[in-house]
Amino acid sequence: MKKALLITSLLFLFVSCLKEPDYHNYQVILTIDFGPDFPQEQRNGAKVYFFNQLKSYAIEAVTDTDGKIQFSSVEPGFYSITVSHSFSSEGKMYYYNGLKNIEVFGNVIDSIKINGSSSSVFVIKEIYYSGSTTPAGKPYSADQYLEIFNNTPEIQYADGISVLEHESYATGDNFWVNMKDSIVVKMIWTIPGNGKQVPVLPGKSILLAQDGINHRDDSNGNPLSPVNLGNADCEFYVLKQPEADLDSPAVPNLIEDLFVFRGNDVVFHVRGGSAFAIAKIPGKTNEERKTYINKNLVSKASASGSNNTYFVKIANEYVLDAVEVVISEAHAIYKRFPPELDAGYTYVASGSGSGKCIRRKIKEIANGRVVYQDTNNSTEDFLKDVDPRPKIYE
Amino acid sequence: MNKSFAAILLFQICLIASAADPDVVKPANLLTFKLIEAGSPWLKSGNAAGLSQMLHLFPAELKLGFSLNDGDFHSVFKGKSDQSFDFGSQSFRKINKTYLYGSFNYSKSYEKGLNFSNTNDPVMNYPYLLTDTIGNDTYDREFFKLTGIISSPVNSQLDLGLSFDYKVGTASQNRDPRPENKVLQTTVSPGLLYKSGRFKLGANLAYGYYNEDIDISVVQENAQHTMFQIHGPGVFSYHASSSFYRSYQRHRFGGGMQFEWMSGNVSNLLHSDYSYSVQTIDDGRRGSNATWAAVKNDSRLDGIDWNLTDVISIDQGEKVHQLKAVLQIRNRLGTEFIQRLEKVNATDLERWITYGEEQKYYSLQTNAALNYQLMVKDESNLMKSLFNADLKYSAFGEKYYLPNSDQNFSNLMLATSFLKLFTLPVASFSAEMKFSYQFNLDGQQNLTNANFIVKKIFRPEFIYQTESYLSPGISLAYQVPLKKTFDKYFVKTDFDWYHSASGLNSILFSFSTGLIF
Repeated sequence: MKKALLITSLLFLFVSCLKEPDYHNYQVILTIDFGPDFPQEQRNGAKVYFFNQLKSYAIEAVTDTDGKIQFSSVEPGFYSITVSHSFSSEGKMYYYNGLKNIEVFGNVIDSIKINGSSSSVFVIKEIYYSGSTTPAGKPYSADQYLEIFNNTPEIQYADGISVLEHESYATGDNFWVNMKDSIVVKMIWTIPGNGKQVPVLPGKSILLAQDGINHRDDSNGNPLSPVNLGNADCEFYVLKQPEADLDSPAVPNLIEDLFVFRGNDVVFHVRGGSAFAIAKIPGKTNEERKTYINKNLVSKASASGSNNTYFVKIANEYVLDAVEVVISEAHAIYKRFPPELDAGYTYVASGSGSGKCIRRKIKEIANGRVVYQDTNNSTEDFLKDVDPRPKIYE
Repeated sequence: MNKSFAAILLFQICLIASAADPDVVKPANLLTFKLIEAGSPWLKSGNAAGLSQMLHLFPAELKLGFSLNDGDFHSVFKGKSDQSFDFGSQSFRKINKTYLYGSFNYSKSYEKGLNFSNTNDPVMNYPYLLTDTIGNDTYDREFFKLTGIISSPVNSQLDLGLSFDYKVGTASQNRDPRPENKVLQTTVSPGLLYKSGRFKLGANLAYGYYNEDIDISVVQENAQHTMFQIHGPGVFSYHASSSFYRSYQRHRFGGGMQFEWMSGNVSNLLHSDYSYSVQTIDDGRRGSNATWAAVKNDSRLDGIDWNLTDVISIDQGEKVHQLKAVLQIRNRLGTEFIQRLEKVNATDLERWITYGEEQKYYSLQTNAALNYQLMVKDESNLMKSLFNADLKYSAFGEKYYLPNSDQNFSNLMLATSFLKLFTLPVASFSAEMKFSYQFNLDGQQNLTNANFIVKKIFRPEFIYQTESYLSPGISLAYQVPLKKTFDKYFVKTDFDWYHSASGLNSILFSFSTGLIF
């Protein structure tokens, strides 16, 4: 009996449980290398995603004022680190990105270099230039418009933004092809304000109409027009005596800074020859802006050589967005904007009077806000022959 | 091995065992197997040599069965319903001084409304499950199981025994992503029993092997599905592909000791068994393609299982009292492999290179139970009635380290049942009433992540595991004697109803019919 109990007791002595895991955890200290020219006040708040490649989870954190960040209790493994940072200044959005893969099998101290790029806070969302046809079969182009969109998650101010039309209709070689750092325009219309008077909410737009009326209902309109522009934010109004342009009392007028071939109204080329850009021309006041314009006049002799016509060159650095609209595929060889402003081109294939427009593609929906695609290539960025949908974002 | 061939082979072996003439023939009825189970504590000791200590009853049966488990109250890893069609046979025999037991079972089942499982038996107390999120699947299973035990005396004091079981089968789904699971499970256990006067001392060794190969395919062209490889509570990695291979392999080594003391009509059997297991979970794939040419080691699970049981029996002739105390401990330690797919040598072949192994998972399950059993027998030593009362405690805790997550809970169950045999002029009839009630003692779930795997799997499963429920049940059986080869014909039906505190219900219904001889 005693022996049996002894044997049984010895057996139970061998019975033991497994110990709790002996696991490793490490510390990772990262420094973001912003480069020497990066403004010191913008260094904090860069988002860092610390992504475990094996288990597909990420730890998210932001840098301190020195651009440093520390992760504690990191499990061993392979990680990718993505740094993203952005801020807006002078009408442009500056983006910085960095990517690095690291192995964590001990404490890690490392730095990540980031590279910057910029894009406009405003983009041209939609251009309707083809016009429509009246019940009588006549062309109708007073319903043309151009829509500018705030593509950022922050409020941006549109006053002081100018709409430009290139000098050429791209029916022949660009006369200014050797001017690499500027574009030459024949029309400059500017949104009035002191720079803080026309806020545009994130994911919203500002609509610039040729005539700010409901073109389908108004007696001066066209019942077959596809648009109601009564809610436009500004309109192109050409002041003449006697008055020849329709002036909608509910819609503020754009400031006419330049209109070389001054007709009774601003009319975009209905077949598609007008290439548009938006720009922030230097000058905090109308006078300063006009001073810049007057200092940048360039002349071009007429075909007969009997007289010169003056246009304005706008430096590329002031251009926020540009869309190379051409008449057709065959006219793309006469492209006017340099690749750094628009590497592609686009057009309404169904032609004038079709009631169709070009509209920028949606890149993503970020927290319920539409973000339009902006790769500086209108061939890729724009949808062709779509129905005009001013101030509709979907 | 060809499934049909294996089935025929196993069935033949079982019939051979059944057909051998016993040297002792005693009348058997539909409660005889239950009587053997209730009155032979050695049969549950794990020592095959203990078969010689069974009651001297040697019945055999052939039966066909159907069972249905249906309802909303179930584990998140289980389907809404599970229908099973079974054919089985079992037999106890004694030839000369050698005791034999053999059983064979074939099962065909359909588990429907399954949402989160690509492993055949996901409720196995291990974290490394494989799942997709395409719901409403059906698992079609076909399994064969063969069990054999032999116990033979070496001399008047020493018995030698050997037991084995072998289970093989497949499980498959017929909707993308569609896994085909091939499962093989076997156990071999030799044992010794030494008898000396009022004492009996036994010892046994055991080896178990489990293998499950999962081959997941996607039939739809150019379609990929995401497979989630779970590592612990709320922790997973995933892989999108049109195919996926996974292999689970487990080896279990262990043994047990038994000690019985008898004095007059009182006996006490103390037995304990202890086993260590190691399970590896491997994925066969390269970057995106399924291939066993490149094996990615996912994880390893070390386990310890310890059972301690003490059974006190008081045999008063017509009445047998039995008090049983059970303690079970299940302990698991999970290790993950940190690997990266890299090109090796000049061949440009890609291999998973191991950079480290990390122990990340720990779980401990403790079960304790106290059971009182009163069996009343008639003058032929056959069971007239059986009363059972149980008190069961279970506790489970698991932890995952970095990101830290843990969950634990404990439950208490009260269960009772009463079975009575009614003898009619020609036939016999038995009725059993059952009732159990489980309530939660405590539970805590602290998960770092709030991902959808947590929302879809870990949170609902925790709620299920900690849900209080009650379950009444009834079992009815009827037997009539036969005049020729077979002794008795019986039909039996069981019905159990599970009703949770939150109002969810499920039922378990089974029906079987067969022959006793």
